[in-house]
Amino acid sequence: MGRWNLIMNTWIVIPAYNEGNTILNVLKSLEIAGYKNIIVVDDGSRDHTFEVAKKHAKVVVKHKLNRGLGGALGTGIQGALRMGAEYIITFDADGQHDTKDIQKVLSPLKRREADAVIGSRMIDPTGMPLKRRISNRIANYVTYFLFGVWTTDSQSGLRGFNRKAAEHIRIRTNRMEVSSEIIREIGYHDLRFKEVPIKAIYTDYSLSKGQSFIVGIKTFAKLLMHRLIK
Amino acid sequence: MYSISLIQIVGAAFLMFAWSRVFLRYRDDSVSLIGLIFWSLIWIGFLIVLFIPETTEFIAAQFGVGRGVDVFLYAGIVILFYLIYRIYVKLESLEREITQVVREESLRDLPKK
Repeated sequence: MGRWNLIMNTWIVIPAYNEGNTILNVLKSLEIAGYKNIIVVDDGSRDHTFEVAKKHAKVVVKHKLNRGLGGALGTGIQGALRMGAEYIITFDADGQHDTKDIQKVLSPLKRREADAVIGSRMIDPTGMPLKRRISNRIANYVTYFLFGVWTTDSQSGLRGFNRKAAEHIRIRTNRMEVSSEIIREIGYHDLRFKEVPIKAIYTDYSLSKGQSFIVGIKTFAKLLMHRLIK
Repeated sequence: MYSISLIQIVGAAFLMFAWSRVFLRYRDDSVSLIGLIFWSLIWIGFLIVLFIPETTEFIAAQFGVGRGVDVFLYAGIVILFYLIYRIYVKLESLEREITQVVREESLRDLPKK
């Protein structure tokens, strides 16, 4: 399979909530890198995210109500499957990922070494603020404690799945718990899992969009409740 | 002579009801095995307190609280606990259903699988 084929049956899922200011650059850089199949899930934004995305992405779907990251990712993955995707990449709309890293995530899938790949910002955390590094580390321990899968970056937004993995992974949670939930599903369905190092581009903007300490505590409480009750 | 009081009958009936709910939810797969164990332990704990009230005296003594069983207080806690559990489960399934509806609606123009 050549590079062209790979790009043709690869779909990039971008969940976006009020990202009108950054999504244009993200979409343009993906276009320049040659990725044509892009599905943007506008998660009920109140700004011009939808209009901007409509001009630059092949498929744009809109949630009438804001459902959170988990809800948007679930919709995007399902949409990509319906469009016939063989490989699915999830990509953040805030501009923190480098399009060059997509190939790094894709290649273990293409070589059939893994069903699910996570781009880890923690293998080489240069440039990541210390506070972020610590909170990511805590999130990894929590994910391991609850679901028994060790990752170096459980909260990464750049992930890749082959069709089989995308069909198996069931996303039930709506909000930030989704990152850990995906890892749980990888463990639960015994999918072959690999991590590759990626770079994170941190700007004040992308930092402001991540999980704050309070949101982190809430996410932990929700995960714990899920483990106990669901 | 040890006799069973009304509160023990009512309480035990309620606890069995509460536990049966958990068990049914476990059977239809909306409560995990760990969830079943967790809730079972909680209800068994209340059952022990109900039939061997001396345990509360023991615990109260350990914590340095003078008064033993304040039945109404305990009953109140049990009922609140149960209601919170119910509300949590309801709320979660409601959230999921809303997402499902929003998702289906947003994907309606895409080809069906």
